[in-house]
Amino acid sequence: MLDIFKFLLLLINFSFILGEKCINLDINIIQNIEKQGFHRNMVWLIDSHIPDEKLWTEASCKVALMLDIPVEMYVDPDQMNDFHRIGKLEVFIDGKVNIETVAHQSTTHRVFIYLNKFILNSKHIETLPIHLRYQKSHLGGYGKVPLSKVNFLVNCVEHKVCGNYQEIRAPKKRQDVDSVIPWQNITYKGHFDVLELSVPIGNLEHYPFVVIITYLVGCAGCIYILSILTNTKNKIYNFSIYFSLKLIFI
Amino acid sequence: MLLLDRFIDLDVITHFIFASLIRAILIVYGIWHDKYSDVPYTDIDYKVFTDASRYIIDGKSPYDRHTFRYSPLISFLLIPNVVIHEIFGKIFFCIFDLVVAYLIRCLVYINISHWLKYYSKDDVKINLQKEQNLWAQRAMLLWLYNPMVVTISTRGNSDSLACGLVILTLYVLQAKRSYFCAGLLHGLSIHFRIYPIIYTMSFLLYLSNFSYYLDCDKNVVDLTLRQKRETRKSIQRISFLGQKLFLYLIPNSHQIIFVLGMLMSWSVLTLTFYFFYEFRFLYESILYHFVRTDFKHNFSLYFYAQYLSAWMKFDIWSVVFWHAILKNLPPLIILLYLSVYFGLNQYTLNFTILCQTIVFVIYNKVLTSQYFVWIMGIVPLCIWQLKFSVKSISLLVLIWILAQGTWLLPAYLLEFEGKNTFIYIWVQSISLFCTHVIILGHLLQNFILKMQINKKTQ
Repeated sequence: MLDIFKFLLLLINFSFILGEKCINLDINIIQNIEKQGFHRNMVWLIDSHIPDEKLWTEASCKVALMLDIPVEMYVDPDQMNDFHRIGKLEVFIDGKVNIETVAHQSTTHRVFIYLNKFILNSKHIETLPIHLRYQKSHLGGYGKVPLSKVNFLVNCVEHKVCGNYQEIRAPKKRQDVDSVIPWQNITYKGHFDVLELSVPIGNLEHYPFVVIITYLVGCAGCIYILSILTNTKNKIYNFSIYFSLKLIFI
Repeated sequence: MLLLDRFIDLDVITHFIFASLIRAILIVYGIWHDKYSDVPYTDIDYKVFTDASRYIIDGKSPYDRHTFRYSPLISFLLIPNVVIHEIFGKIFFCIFDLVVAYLIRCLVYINISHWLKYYSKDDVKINLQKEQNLWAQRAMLLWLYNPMVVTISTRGNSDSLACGLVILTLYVLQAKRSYFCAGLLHGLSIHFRIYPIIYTMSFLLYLSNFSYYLDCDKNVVDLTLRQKRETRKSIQRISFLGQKLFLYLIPNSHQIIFVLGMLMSWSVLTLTFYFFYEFRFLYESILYHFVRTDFKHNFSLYFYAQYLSAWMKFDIWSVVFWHAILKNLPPLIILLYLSVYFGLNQYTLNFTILCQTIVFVIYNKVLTSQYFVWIMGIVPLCIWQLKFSVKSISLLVLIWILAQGTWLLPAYLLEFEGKNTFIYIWVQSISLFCTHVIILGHLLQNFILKMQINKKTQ
């Protein structure tokens, strides 16, 4: 038993001696929400600090953000396609998105935002447009939309980021969904101002009078138009109806 | 006013150049705006069409594009958007606008000619002949310089195309008297957008053997009736289930030709696309529009009631049934009544179509700005038959803009500021609906009056 333990220790030391380097990463993320209403922007300010820039460059690392989207909101796939086409944002949406359904009839999805313009030791701002869904009417007021915290993913070809991080398997890039690679889910220092959004919802207490008045107005409009048609002094109508009736009842 | 008159009097080509310039400027502005603004100028549907065309090029179904609920024709038409340039479709819509404008001009001119042909008093004829050109020109300009039409086309919305197909059908039916072609076009219109189906009965009544050119003289009507009665006496009566049915209920050759044309184009297009895109095509482009319930706020009178009742559990035979009846019966009654009321009169076809479009739009379960283009396209065809003072037109337009504006404010607060303004939007939807009903009432009250006044004053 002791021998096995010694052997493992030797193996770890051996790999260390061989030069299995790891990258030290210090990441700070501030997550914020821009705009009000049903169409908003999630904004992340990513402040990175990597002491060994040379090692980072050698490692050919890719950086991405991963966000779980709850049923109460969605990322518009077509908007993302447009953004990709004009080179504004590269996003892969994992899951089916129906932009027309209401919250309780929708499903969750996950988005990967590839930070292709990520620059070391500087502040990086990334913006993702999100859209809130209509929610089932209740007793008025506002419905809640929980916001999940963003995950910071790194994939390096040569080395790994120091520390034991959860591995997430995700596409390498948006255009190549089939080539799934392991990403390290890096922990970071986060600052989140908003953890929940609110969305206006209909008030069911309004239901009786809204329905009654709506249908009354619809029927009243019909009666008004018919009354104009039948009561108008314009001769052409009188002749028309006179003519039509005679044709039918002659 | 003199300057305005001189502008109106400019020849057709000059107006087309002006209108094209305005549209070209707006298309270029759209490109610039989309590049720098978060709120795009280009209509969302234009992107949908272009994406659908992209899918077609890739050998996929256009219905793979979310929210593509149109005929595949539009995605085929806009393939150059992907192959050549994205603004191709906008240019195409704008050129189609000019064609429609010219058709409006011709149709109004021919309508007035028909009116003059059957109008009994010669002195009135002379006055109207002078105005014939002027009315045709005014009608054309009303379409050509209508800000809504210009904006819709340059934003890349296809509704002016749908409206243009209806106008083309009216033109072929009234000016060319080619019933088969008119049928083909009507079928195409229905395939392109389902709503023109509501005009079918009016078209059939227009083609009836019993349709007439009305002179406001009761004796003429009676004389015509006597002639019809004589004809009818010689026709064998057909008995069905104990009821006597007269032969006039049996379609004439024109009606049959029209229906054949309509069925032919509609079914050929539908079957062809069904062959390629299967049930998804049927569902997305046809069935969806019947089962559609949009809970998101829109101009419709019914939007809030629909949203509140959307997920309630009702007794299906009591509440759901009455909801459907109360929602659908009023517009159905008016549409049928309008068809029968005006149908047989040869002068009122355009006006019937206008009134039916207004009724269909204002009672629709989903109503957005683009639907108003369906109305805007038909209005120019009827202006020569409407008697409105500048003051009353201005007042009606002002009321309409105010009603829209007061709806837009709470809608903006809801959508972009996140304020709970559902109830205010509902109140404004009712106000907008009432405004539309009042405007329709005014149109009905002022129709043809001009001709009668002319006649009385002679």
